[in-house]
Amino acid sequence: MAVAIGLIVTTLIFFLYQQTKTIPNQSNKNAGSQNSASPTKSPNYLTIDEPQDEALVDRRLLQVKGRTHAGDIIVVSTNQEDKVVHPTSDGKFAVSITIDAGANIIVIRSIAPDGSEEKDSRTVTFSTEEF
Amino acid sequence: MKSIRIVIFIIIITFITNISGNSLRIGYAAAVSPTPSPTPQDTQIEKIKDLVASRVAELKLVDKKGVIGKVKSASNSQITLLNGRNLQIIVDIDELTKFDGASTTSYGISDIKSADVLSVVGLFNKQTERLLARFVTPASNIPQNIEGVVTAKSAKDFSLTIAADDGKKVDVNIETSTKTTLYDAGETLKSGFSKIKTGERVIVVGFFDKTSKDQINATRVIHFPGLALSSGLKKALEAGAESASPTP
Repeated sequence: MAVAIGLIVTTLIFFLYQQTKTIPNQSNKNAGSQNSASPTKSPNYLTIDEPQDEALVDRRLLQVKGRTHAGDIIVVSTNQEDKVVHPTSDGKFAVSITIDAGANIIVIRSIAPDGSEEKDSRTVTFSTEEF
Repeated sequence: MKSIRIVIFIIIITFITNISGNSLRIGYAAAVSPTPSPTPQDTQIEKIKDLVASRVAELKLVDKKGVIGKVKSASNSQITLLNGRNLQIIVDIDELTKFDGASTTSYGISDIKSADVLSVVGLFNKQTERLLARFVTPASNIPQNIEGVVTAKSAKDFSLTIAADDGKKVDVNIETSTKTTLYDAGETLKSGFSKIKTGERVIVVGFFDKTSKDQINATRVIHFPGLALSSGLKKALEAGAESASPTP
């Protein structure tokens, strides 16, 4: 009888000891997810996903990809040309552009129907030099 | 009382057994798998692994970049630039840096002056945030891109006056080579100087006149007859109309 009680107590102590080793971090995780709230969209917004600013590329034909309000118009101006497009119903857009050899500044404007505007630019350099 | 003693005895025995069991296991593992002495081949493999790892780390640390900026200061070994976002970029020059001036064959670091606009291609160190220049060229081919509202038009001089959102005015010279387009109702159409009207929103791409910083020689003009003006452009248009009308 005493041996059985001893074994049970020992097992209990062992399990309790094991429990103290792993501290559940669930509460911390939840707190973190609450703090990282999704960014709110401003009345005017323009996000450029591609190309990266100050990128070095070895192709003259590029895609400018980004997101804005669905009703806006997008004007993309390079050293060589201007392109005007409408984003899709979810606000995404993709424009094919041609860049010059050397340094280029790509200016992207998103103009809302009320005339308000968001503007961003990307510096892209075309080079095939190896270094 | 006796039973409590037995329980305590069992607890102590169990712990001792656990500890000794663990140490026995470790001892057994050590006995079963002794560390083999490295052969010359293993040493070589380890060296190659280290080389690859250090190269990968180097590649991750350094990134190829192409920047454009206005020269803030320049010395024999360093150029400080301000990029389009007004951020300072420190460019290091070494013996491998190549200078390429379009107008002169002997273009070098001594030709670089404050306020010059340069294009620099090189290796950007993410840790030090410095750019090790490999190619430096004057960025003279980059046109200005201005947006505004047409506040005045001169058919005689083939020129437009446009006011930007902040009210700043620029005279736009339309040349025979200027490409004019119109965007309306989802369509981009070929246009001309005569079709541009006062009060329209325009984007002008061109180069500043060498004699006057308030004049731009347009290479492209795109106008938007159907597009609303922003509040800033409306104010600029009203201000432009007021300044144009004669005072009583």
